[in-house]
Amino acid sequence: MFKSIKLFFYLSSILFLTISCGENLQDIVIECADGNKIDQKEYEKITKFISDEEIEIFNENGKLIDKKLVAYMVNIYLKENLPISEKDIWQLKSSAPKTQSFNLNVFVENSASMDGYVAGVTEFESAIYNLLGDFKINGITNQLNLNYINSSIRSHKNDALSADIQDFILRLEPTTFKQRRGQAGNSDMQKIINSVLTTVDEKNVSVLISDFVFSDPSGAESQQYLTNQGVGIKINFAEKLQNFNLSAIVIQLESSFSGTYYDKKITPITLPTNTKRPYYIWILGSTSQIQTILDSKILDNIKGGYLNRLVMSKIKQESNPNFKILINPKIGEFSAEGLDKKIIFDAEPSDKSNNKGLFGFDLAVDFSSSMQDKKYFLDKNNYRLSNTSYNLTTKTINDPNNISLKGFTHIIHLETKKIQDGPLKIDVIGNTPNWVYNSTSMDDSNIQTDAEEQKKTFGFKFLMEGINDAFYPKTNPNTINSLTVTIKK
Amino acid sequence: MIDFFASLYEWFGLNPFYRTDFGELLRGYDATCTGYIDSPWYSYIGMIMIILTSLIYAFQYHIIDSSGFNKKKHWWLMSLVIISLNFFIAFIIPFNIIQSSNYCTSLNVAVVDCLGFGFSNAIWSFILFLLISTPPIFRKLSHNCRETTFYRP
Repeated sequence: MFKSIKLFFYLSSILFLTISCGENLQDIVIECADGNKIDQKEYEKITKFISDEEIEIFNENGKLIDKKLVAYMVNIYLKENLPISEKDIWQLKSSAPKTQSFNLNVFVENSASMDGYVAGVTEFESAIYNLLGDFKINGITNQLNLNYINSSIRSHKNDALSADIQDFILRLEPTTFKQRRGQAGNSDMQKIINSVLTTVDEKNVSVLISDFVFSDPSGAESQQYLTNQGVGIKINFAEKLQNFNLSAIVIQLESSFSGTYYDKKITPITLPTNTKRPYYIWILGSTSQIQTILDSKILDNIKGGYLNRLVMSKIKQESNPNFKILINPKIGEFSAEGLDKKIIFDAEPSDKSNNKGLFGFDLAVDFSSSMQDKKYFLDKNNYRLSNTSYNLTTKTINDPNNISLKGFTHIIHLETKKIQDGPLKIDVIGNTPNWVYNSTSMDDSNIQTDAEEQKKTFGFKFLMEGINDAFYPKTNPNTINSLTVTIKK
Repeated sequence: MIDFFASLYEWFGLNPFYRTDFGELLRGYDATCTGYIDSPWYSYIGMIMIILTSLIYAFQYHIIDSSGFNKKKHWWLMSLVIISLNFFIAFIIPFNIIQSSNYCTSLNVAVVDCLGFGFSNAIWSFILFLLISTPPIFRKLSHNCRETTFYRP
């Protein structure tokens, strides 16, 4: 009897322990949230728990990746409605060197075709004023030098103060443009770009503002001219890239245009007042300078916003952004067992009538550390798959309440009718994006009446393809980002 | 241990009582959908089922151990207690998790899955009670219940 009672108490104790054991990582993370701040000691307590429990989900190559852990912690706090964000969590200080500040040389192209953008008060003027003002007050630039550019560079003001910027903007009028135009009324784009390119170095970033209308100054209607200009620009950029770690940002904006447009034959055409026309801001600098500008978020706050943005940068090494395979939604079936190791086990096609024979899954990817614009990752032409039987679609993540997607920027959906064992490599490649082609006009003679044509830029793709070929030669793989998922049937 | 209990509760891959996604929740797929870093409920509930069933067995056969409580109807009464308790435990734990939304909301789970899991746990507890009380290995240590099984006396 005594033995039985002992046994009963023994078993009861085990039962109690089993019920009360369950301290998991989530509990520890919440427990450490005392004071709504995670100090070094608390952070180390969490990492120790991860190490003791041999939780490998936050590891890469056997090493804990703080970014992954912090993203997990932030998600937990969000779920628990605790006011703790990433900045409240102690982390090892980054050893990345601080970028030195630089001079900003601004070049506003003032050929006759630009007059329409500066007639009266336009979005063009507001956006440039706002942009230059932000550069001035942000503290990332030393000197701000204002110039006009056409057949040659004409300096307006070196080391401009805020008042000089205001004066520069106020003087953006067709009459001032005409006075400072120099010899040419039209623009040789290759020459302009090359002039600006030569000003770029480790201490100087250049900003070129132009409509980039790319017609033959002789008025000849020749595609050969456009092709040659593209090749010339490619050579200029390629030469610069040989001895300089160059990066470029191309921003497409839109402004009211009132005045004369010069078509491919240099025929003057008066456009209706306040016609919306695209123009472009190019920023050329070293990769670290461009990264500094992007990090400063100045470009995200351009007054009136922008239509499109493209960043081109010399690829030194492909990067592997953080991503995860989503357990749902899916087409067909697979096991969740290997998802944390990026492996899909037991992949089976769907047997449902609406998608019978199809197999599909979603990836949540964090492209936030990429220099590239978010929209770039929405264009399926910018992806290359190791297995071409897969169809890829992408979308941005817009649901702030979905904790499982917190810390990720895009969803990549992949589906196939043919499941094959082995790795599936998803590469984001350096490419001329679709918006460039959609914004290119090859015949602008009807621009006065054709509203679609008014939104385009003549010959723009030749220019962009030239630069793209310099940054991403067709003979190279040009992989910017790479993700690998292993699939096993 | 998770795999062992998972295969038991999922009836060796047949998975007849609840959906696959519910199984992921029980394996410990965490609330942020990061991976299996949450509590491994399969193991916990499996262990609770084994210990609770053993306790109730010990209670009848070795603690009470009474000549007035050693008939087959008493065996069936205790098995009813075991089934009920184990059903309740396996139902209420995931039910609370779902009600508090403390799980990966990408998983397709519902209360009906909790019922299925409760049912599965109840069946296994009954099988376990049957296994430990039918062969004479353990019950022969009892004074008054050494002959008590589900079919006699």
